[in-house]
Amino acid sequence: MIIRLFLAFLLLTSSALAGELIRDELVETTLDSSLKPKPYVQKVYKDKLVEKTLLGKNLPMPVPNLHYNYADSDGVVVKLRPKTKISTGGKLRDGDVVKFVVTQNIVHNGRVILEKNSEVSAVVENISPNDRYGVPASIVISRFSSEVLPDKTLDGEINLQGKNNSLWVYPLSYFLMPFFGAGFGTTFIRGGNVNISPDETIEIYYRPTRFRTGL
Amino acid sequence: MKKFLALLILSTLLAASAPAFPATSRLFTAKEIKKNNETIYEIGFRLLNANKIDKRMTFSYSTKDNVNASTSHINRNIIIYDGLIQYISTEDELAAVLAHEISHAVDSYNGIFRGYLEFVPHIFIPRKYERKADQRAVDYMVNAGYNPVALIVIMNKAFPQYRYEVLGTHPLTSRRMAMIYEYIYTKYPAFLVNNPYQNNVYYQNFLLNSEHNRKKFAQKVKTGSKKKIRYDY
Ligand SMILES: [Zn+2]
Repeated sequence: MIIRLFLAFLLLTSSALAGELIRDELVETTLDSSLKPKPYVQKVYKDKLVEKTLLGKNLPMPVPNLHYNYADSDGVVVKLRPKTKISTGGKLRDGDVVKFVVTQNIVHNGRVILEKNSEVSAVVENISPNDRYGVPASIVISRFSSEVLPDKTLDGEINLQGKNNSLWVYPLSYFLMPFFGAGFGTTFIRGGNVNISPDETIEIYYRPTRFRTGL
Repeated sequence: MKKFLALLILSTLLAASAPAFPATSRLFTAKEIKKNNETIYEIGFRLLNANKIDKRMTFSYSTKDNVNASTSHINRNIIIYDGLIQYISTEDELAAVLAHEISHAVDSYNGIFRGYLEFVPHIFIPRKYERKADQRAVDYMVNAGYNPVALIVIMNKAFPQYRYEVLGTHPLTSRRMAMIYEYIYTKYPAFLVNNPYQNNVYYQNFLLNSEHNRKKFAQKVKTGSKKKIRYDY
């Protein structure tokens, strides 16, 4: 009962107070009453580089590798050598295509599927350059393909790291530091690059049925 | 009639070449990811299988509120913390975080003693390995049918911006995002043309805050230079 009376009191006083609005006379006398704030519109930022350089080009979407059948072990070794020297110390960059040459006829089910000296391409997936403190360079090459074979039937990856000098550069710098900080100089020693020369052999696989599309 | 047939053929051709992912591409919603740890393991193993990664590693979830994920050099266990899970709103974003950690775990197999000493160069030049992990994450995502733009999205949403790089193990987030953008543009441009994240509020904010860095990259594209860009703070 007391609460109800209190609420009624509140209601009465608040409606009485509502009549006592304080007005902004300056606004009412000097500003156009039809002025309204513009509704908020989200600005859309566009990527001009993409619009200018990529739009309208035929850029295929990569096909994801979702349907490998790892139980399928049907395959033959394909021996390759680089057409020219591959090095992390040169001009190669991520996404570049490198060429290899097949070193002997590849036979599958009694049939030559890749002839000796035919060309195989691959993609330099990633190059990480060498660095101070003896930190080595690394390279990853994959997506091997041949014009005469169906897509995704060549299976292999090159994943190499240069000489890791950090294992001795660090102790050396530590020992040389007492000699007028001479150890500091050794921290500028870099790690090794990866070099794959044209007479090195690389082994990948031809797997005709492991990757299945359209599943 | 001929016109109609031509149109029909054209439209079927277009439909066939449309860069659509298979219907099975996305497995989980954000809600499911937040509710069920198993989703984390499944996405992790899908990344491993699609990338033919034959090195063993495991995934786990921690209730700690760090906005982070980590990889144990000792046992190759990848941990994603609840603090970061709270920021995840698509399966792509979770895949992005896991793919980055997978790259660290793969690297931990390099070198002598089964990679035991591989942490040594990581101590000195950690940012080099972070850069590589970001780039490999993009590759891993693409191979597993995920959209790599989500790596930029989750970073811009969840990773803070420090002032100086020399003090930290990671490159500044602004630089990481610019490098990832460059990497996607160079290797998988189709994802930027057909970009479902284009109007995403976090990606829009990236376009806003990265304008000076993207201008630097645009210059590189224009001149065809192969030099490494030093991206700004
Ligand atoms: Zn990392």
